[in-house]
Amino acid sequence: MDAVREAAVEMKSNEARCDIETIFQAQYRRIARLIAGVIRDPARAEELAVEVFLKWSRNPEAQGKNAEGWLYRVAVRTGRNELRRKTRRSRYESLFDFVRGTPTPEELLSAREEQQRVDVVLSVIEPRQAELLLLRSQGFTYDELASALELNSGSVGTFLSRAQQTFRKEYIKRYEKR
Amino acid sequence: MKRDDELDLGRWVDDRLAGRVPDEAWEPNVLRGLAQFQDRRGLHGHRRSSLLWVAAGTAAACLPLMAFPVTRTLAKNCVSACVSQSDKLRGFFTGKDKATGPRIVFATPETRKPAPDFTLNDASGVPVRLSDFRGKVVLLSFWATWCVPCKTEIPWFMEFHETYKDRGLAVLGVSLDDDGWKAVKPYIGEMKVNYPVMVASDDIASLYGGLASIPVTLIIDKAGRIAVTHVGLCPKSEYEAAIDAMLAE
Repeated sequence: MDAVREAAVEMKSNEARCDIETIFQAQYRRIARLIAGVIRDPARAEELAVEVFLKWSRNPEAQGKNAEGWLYRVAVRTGRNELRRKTRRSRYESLFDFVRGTPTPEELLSAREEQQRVDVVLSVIEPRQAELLLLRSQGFTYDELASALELNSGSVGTFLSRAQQTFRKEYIKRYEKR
Repeated sequence: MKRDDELDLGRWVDDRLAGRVPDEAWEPNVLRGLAQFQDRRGLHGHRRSSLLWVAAGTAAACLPLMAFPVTRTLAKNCVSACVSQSDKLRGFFTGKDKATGPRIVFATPETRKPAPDFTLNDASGVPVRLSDFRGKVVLLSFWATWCVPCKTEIPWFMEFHETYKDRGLAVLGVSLDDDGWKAVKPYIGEMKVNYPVMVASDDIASLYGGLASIPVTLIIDKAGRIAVTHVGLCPKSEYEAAIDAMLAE
């Protein structure tokens, strides 16, 4: 009887493992691309995507009906946190620019000033608004946005519009109002 | 601002964020990701169970240690040493080091009380009576063979006995060992104690206020009154200064 019970437990644990790995294989690409869109660093995005799945696999509550929504929400949040870290680091590094000397033409070319500005604005606006804009920029539909950010699907448009206004206001305040 | 207002807000934001869509040609490596995921999941579970085993092992090893009197005493001594060291450190930083102030406090002649008299046999069985030392300054030490600070003091007292005996100092030791001469005789033989040592009878401790902790050192003036009662260890130089002062009275 015990052997039967043990076999059943083992089967159940194998099933759970298979479920987790199936979802991993189905969602990894999208999660990694979502993070890469936020941080613009594909290699780091792949590492962070694994982190997101590890968090998910250790959180039984996240493995319920809205597992996809949970994964997208945590992915975009993880990406934004990484972005904030990068922005902070580059701010400190710019303080020591005189030590590094004059940048090479290649450095200047790769600066991608516009994207750095966007990084900064996304780092300082309200996290939920940044997450909404980032998911939208990755082609998420209103329904997917509602599910990922736990919003009422009828009010996604309003939230999105408000987030866009905040983004533009902050961008202009920082870079165009001179 | 007018130009911004004319622009469609959604398009304006989409333009800024357009550069964030990863290149369509880039494909995340799912197999590598899955391998990392499996590795780290396994590692996490393994690490957690290892930590549990280590914690359980440590607890199992520590509990029997605490059950034995010897290890309990060792732990108690460690705690006392830590407390005393931290006191010293605090004294060092706050400038209130207790060790730097004089520890021996003299009673003024008018407030001194007569030392309770007693008669006890020394190691060779010869009776020693305290009042017989009237006219001399007496350093009376209450000690025991198991008392660590007492072991530090005994060589100092032997030295005082040698140095000051011609100037009128008598050093007397009274042991409070429960085992009596059985414990004291070998000890004083080994330490080569040169002054008279007695073993206290039951009533001696109560005569001198109970003697709850040792060492207790008394300095008795020439008139047989207690000038100094010091509990614990204090620097040798302070004893010397006190003896000098008492002999000069």
